[in-house]
Amino acid sequence: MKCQHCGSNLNIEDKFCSFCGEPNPFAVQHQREMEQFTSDYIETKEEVIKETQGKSRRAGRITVIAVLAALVCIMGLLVFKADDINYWREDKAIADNKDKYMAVVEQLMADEDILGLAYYMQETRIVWNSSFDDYYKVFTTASDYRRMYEYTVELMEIKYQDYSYSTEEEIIENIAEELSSMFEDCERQQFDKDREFSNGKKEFMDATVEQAKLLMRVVFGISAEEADALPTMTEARINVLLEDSYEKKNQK
Amino acid sequence: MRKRIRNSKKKSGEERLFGFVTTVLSLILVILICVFIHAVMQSHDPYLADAEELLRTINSGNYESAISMVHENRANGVDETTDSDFIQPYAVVDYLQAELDYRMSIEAGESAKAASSKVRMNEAYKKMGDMQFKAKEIDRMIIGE
Repeated sequence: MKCQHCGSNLNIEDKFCSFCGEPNPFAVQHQREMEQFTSDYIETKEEVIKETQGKSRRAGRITVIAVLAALVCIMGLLVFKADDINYWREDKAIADNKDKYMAVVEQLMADEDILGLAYYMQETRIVWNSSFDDYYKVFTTASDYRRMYEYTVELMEIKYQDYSYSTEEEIIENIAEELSSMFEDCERQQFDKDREFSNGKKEFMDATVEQAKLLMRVVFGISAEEADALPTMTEARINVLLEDSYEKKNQK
Repeated sequence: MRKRIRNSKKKSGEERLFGFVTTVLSLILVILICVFIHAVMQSHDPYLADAEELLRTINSGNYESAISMVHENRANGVDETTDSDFIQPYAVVDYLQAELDYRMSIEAGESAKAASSKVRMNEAYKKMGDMQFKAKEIDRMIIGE
């Protein structure tokens, strides 16, 4: 630019003319404008930095919340499945100690302790463990016998109790149902495997059936022939036989 | 300037919301972790009858329940050796079962088994102590008088 007084060349930043020494009015304005620009630049820069940091901070927070929410969902699912996890752990413990449980089962079978076996398999939960699949029919038979035995004792004691939840007819019906179920469970079905009947299992189930027949003879007074015919009868026929026999026995 | 103030208020509002949500989720997570640990540490303890409950059951004549209780206890290792209060009630149940076995053996004509059952009956009868009066009740019940 030119000096207003002497016309010589000046830079806009020069406050005074280097030739005539007169003040340059544009320099002050220029400086003011430069300061304003610098201030605006710094402010804008700070705003942009803050904005960018704010966005990344927001993204970080959203990520944290998303991760927390995912963890909450996973833990919620685990809590919901806690029982299943416990059962899996118990089943694994059973499978790891299979020999110990097997020894007890074999002893109970050898002693023909049907009730002992029925309660042992239930209390230890081995009845639901896949390591004992070969004993499924033995366990089911023992379980049927256990229920039938308990109903029979309930029938015997009912006369001496002030109050009973069930009538004699209902209990006899339950006994007939368990007997029928037990006879069916002992029989070999189409998809049963050989190992479910081997190694003394068939003998144990046969012994259980014989015990059941004897119990019916003692409690209901049925004859040996009627007892032998029980496995061939339907549940309804067993029920009728037991009811009639019980009535006859009580009349005596 | 006003925009800057507005923006700063909006940002602090967002921060408060994020803080609140994070706190709530963290609390829920901690609670769920505690519940999960408690659920997993808890094993499926079986319900076992104590001697008093067993005696009450026998005294009420509910032998069917008493048989269940005794067998469940024994399957879980709770027997007369763990608590001497169990001797008499267990003996009552053993007597009942031994007598049923005895009568079944007689019915089947198996004298050896019948003799063995009779021995079990006598042993159980001795252990019944002052509950020996229950033997007559059991006899009557089984015979059906």
